[in-house]
Amino acid sequence: MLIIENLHVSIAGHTVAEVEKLELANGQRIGFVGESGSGKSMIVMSILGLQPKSAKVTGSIKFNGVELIGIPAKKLADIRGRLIGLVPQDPTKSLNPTMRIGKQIAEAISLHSNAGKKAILRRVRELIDNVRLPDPDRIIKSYPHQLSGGQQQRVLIAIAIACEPKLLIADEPTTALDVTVQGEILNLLLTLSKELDMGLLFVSHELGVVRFVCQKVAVIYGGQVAEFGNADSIIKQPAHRYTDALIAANISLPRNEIEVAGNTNQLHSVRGSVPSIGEFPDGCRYRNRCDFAIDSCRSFVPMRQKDKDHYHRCCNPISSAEKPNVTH
Amino acid sequence: MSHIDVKNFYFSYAPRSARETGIWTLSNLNFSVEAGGFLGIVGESGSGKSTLIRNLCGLLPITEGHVHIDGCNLASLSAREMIDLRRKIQLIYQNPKRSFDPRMRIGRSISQPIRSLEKRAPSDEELANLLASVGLQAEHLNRFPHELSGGQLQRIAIARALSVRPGILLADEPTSALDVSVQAQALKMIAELREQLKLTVVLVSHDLAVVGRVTDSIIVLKDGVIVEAGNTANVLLNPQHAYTQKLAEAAAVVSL
Repeated sequence: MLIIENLHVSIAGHTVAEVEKLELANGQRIGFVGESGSGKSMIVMSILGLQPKSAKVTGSIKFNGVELIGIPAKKLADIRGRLIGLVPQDPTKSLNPTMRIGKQIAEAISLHSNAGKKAILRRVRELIDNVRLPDPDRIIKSYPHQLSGGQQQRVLIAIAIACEPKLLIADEPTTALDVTVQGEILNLLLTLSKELDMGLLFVSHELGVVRFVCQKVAVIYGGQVAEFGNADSIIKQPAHRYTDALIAANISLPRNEIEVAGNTNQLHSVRGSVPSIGEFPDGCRYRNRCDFAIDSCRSFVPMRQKDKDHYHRCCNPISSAEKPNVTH
Repeated sequence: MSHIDVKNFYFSYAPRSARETGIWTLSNLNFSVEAGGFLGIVGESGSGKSTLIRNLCGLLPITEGHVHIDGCNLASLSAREMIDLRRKIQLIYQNPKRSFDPRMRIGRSISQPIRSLEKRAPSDEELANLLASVGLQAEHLNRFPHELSGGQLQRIAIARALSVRPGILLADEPTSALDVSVQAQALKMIAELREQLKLTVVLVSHDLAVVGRVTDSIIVLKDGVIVEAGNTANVLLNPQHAYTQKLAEAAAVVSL
């Protein structure tokens, strides 16, 4: 459905994203994981043609056989919203505060179809039902501020799936929400993806969140795919040192007495911070923060295969003899 | 004597109508924290966590009941005594990018508590030592907030809070605005400084995983009421209230 090939995005001569090849099949769910500044949003935004104006995009992004790079704006606008939906990061900043919810959902439908008023209203109710919001009459008449953050995110999901898109892009859809609400929204996205046979491209900085929703994970760093594979295999047997550091940094719920309280030895962070655009090192992008960097990290690192469906670009990968996640 | 002692405490932003209707923002809270203790407050948005933190440091009044800090009754303090108390209680906020004046260099920003509470200008050496205590260098003193990452700024916020040698540190969601890669670092830093400086710490978070990793006791707030309280290990490994179980499940779903 979605095929990215030799994608190259640059701003003021600095490369901000480069993806050799990445494929998403119909109905498949893939997660992009990385820190802020890793370039994950830049890749996603270039799919939608929403990258900053100063960005130069080359290569190929094919969606259902249609080349999206260089496509006329009008044609892209038709694909966006109809075939590709977007769920934004902060629901409280993404709805029009002066417009009733019903009208905002209706807008998404009427923009891409010439359905009559009644049919649109029927569809709005159906969508509100789809995203498991109670009391459609009240929701339709409400203004955004009358709904909670979680409810607003459900409205935005309703808008995103209004035209039954083949692909839903969710850019950190739960970062602004509470942990309990996060679980509900993740469940909703997962259910909708299955019900509607809709592909999902899920962007997050949390591996735990991505694993819950996605089958495939691409770990992004320095605008490149550092590691790619099945979610479980990436989390249980990471190859790339960056992936391993991200996993170790995850603050997970303590499961036993040892993990509870005071045992700060189990709290890890990824050393250093993400460099600014244009300040990433040559060769392996991660090598200046990596405790395991070797000489060959200085030259270009191609993608290599670890297992079937598991790829990475690490010169000094974690061997099977090593226990991952405890090395930092 | 407990360092923080809260008894039969009620709070409302509209106290008069709350007394009539009996609907309070915070209702009948009872808990205490021993000196050197580490308390976690967990709950969803709207449960009253941040309101409680503001009550504890005197930014919001005490409507009903008693809050004793270091043996002083917060409700009966004069303005002068309140200023003295501020030195003993310091806060770290959720979003480090919004808790620094964007026009001030870091050095000036972190000297503010000493200037206003101790009425003196700290030396550069003193400020550099403060930054060193959170793993940063003297060169950061000359930077502006926008030149630093969220994780670095949060560490500086910790240093700023500790500059006036408080006995109590209140941290309101100190990790939730940070990247996953540095959340653990900020948490670890708070835990280690608490040990080193014998601080009493109150940590507020919506994430049971964060609170569970460092605190020694927990209270679970729901709609302004404590629904469960106890030793961290007990609450976490054997939650009794349905709401605590829900919080635990939500945190477990995204744990690795």
